[in-house]
Amino acid sequence: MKNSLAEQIKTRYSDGRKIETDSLGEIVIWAKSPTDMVDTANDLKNDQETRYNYLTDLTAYDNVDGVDGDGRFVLVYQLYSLENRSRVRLKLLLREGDHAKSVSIHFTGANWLEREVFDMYGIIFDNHPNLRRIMMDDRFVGHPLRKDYSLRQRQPFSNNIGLHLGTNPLPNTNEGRVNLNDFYNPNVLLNLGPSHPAMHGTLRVMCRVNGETIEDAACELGYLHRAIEKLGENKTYHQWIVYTDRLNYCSSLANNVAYCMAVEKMMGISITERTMVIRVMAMELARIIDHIVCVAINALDLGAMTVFWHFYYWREEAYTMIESMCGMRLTTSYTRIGGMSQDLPDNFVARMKRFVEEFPKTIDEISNLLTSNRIWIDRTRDVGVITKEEAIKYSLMGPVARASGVDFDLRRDRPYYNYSSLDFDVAVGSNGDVYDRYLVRMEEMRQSTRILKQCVDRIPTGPIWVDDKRVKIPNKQDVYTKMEDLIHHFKFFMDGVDVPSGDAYSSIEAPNGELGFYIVSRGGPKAWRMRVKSPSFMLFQNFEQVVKGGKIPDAVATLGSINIIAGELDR
Amino acid sequence: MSKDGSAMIFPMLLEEAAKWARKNSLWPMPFGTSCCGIEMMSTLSSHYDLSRFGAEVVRFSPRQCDMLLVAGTITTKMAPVLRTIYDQMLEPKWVLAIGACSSSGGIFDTYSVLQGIDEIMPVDVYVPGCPPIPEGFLYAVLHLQKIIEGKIPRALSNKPTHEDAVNAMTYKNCVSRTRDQVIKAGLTITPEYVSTEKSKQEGR
Ligand code: SF4
Repeated sequence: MKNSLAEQIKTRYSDGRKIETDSLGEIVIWAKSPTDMVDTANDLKNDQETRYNYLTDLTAYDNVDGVDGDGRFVLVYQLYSLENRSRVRLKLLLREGDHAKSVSIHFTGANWLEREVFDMYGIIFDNHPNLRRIMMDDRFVGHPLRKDYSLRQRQPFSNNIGLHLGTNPLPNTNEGRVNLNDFYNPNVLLNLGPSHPAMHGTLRVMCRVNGETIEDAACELGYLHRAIEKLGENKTYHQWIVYTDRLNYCSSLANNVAYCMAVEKMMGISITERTMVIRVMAMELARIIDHIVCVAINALDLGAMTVFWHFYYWREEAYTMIESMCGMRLTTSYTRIGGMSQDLPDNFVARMKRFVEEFPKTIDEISNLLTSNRIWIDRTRDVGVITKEEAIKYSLMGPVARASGVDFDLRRDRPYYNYSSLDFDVAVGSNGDVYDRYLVRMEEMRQSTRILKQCVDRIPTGPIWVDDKRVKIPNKQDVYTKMEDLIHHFKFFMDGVDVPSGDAYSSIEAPNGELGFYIVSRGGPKAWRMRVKSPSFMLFQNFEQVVKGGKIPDAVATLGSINIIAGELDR
Repeated sequence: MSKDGSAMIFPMLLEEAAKWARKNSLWPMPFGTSCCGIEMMSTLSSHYDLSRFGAEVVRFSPRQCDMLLVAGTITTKMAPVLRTIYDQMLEPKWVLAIGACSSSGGIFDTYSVLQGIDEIMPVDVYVPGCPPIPEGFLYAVLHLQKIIEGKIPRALSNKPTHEDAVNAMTYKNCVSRTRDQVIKAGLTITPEYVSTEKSKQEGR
């Protein structure tokens, strides 16, 4: 099936385009020109056979060294087919000063992604609806992800960005001016955030309200842009593990695993059975914590305090367990390339057994508190509705897309590790409102507990490290006693691991949706380009549209339910 | 007041009384932007319970607070917002820099991150850790209480005024090298640099 699809693509799209396979065996098509790039993407989307209808990611990388051909930048699309469950990558070489063409007519979700590419690389997209900077301040000079922008060149400004509505101009009124004191003025501008209790610290939404109805909204982000991607190019593969913790800090274990999986795939390493199970458990534990935080905070924002206190007890339990696994509560850095930093502690199995026994009871209690609660239903039913078509158009994923009826879960569709041998269901909603998202999250917690239960009973014994000289960190005891190991250890940490050149995209089903790492390697211990495809980014883009027409309190409910984590949104 | 109606007087200076009251009723203004903010939430919630030390009334309006908890990475884009909030708080006010990021930029020495909030505002207590464990956070609050009591002198290190803060937030003080200098110092990769390197290698 997969091969025949590849063959089809090769025959159909080979006129004048170079077609390759990357290090993971996925198809890469080099487009001829910007117009060709957009047309090919559209073709792949509409073709009845291929149906690549889902834009996973859109990014670029600097080709200043000319390895990929004559051109300064390479523009990359990652397409996914929800039906065939396969991926294809489109690439285009651009010379300095060349314009690309916007693909946002065919894939609406490309809007912000293209803005990000513009911000980071200065590539201009023709026909783009709203090409402004997205992460950096409008006054910023230069494009930070270009190789010639130095990592530490700061450009601070003394005041915040003023109120604006993106490209949505104010409709003409009698005076054409905004009078903030006039409640009946249909043009009152309202600023939410970045320091606002419902905005999770760093998000900022600016709306035009008519009475209490939001008519226009624009999001401003970048208040937590920490240059994690640029750091990925400046740190060795091992050093960068710590930065993955800080992406989605509610589920750092899942990020660790996703990143190490990507690097391992590029190096062709397959990890041991025991590590596999430990990693699956780590990911599911992370999913539970993430959903606890999301549901609890969502309920807290709507005034249901009890849920918060009640759920947080289990979150603390889970954190205690994680602390015993890797020594940190939040920023775990648990995985290493080819293994884990530590083996499971002795009391882990007993603790985990207690957790999987008793946590479902709390889920049931919370269900009793909320699911049929009149106030909760009134606040969440038919609020922030995302339809199935919209979800696909905006490339949404994870629990939010599933609540809208998109049956898409990478754990089942493209199984990694031992998920194919585990027994779990994928929860899919139908209405796509806040209530459905809440139900999906609750169900996912139950399913995660089920997976944990299956795993904890059959943790295989054996080593946690692969027997591979390239990645295995020498045993500390040996380092102190044996000369060879000492040298190896020194070389290992001074030089780093050598990842063969090439590029690869690898993703997992993180709690929030598809978390992917696109790594371009030119050989050596540092990545040439480290792209994080974060779920929150796409979700927040859609938020702008969802809140329109709703009331302000509904916006708060919606924001809580889509679970935006700023660290992952801004990177 | 006793039961029989007689009043009791604690011989105490008004100043001392004020200190005592202040130290036990610190109202925090949480400014949690990222990972440390999550740990701050843990500290505030039931398990660690910051309210045991009189600091549970979390207010999101800076005008009602007297302890600013800066937890998380502060980017240069966020700096003006933070300074505005600090300016809006009424005296007396104290600032806690929680975590490596807000103390010094932490592991993010990059083009978009402010290298420690003390560039733009005075800080009373720095809490190390990435993120600090909740116990460390509690210790910092207890330490702050001692400072308020006067047992430990308040650090006078540097007190950036509003003007200093604006200076720190603008281009003037921060950008030390021009683009050309940066390129000359070999800190960046340009097409020319790559081609010269290549020819060097081939010549070898
Ligand atoms: S100090 Fe560490 S945990 Fe705290 S905000 Fe910075 S990176 Fe996150």
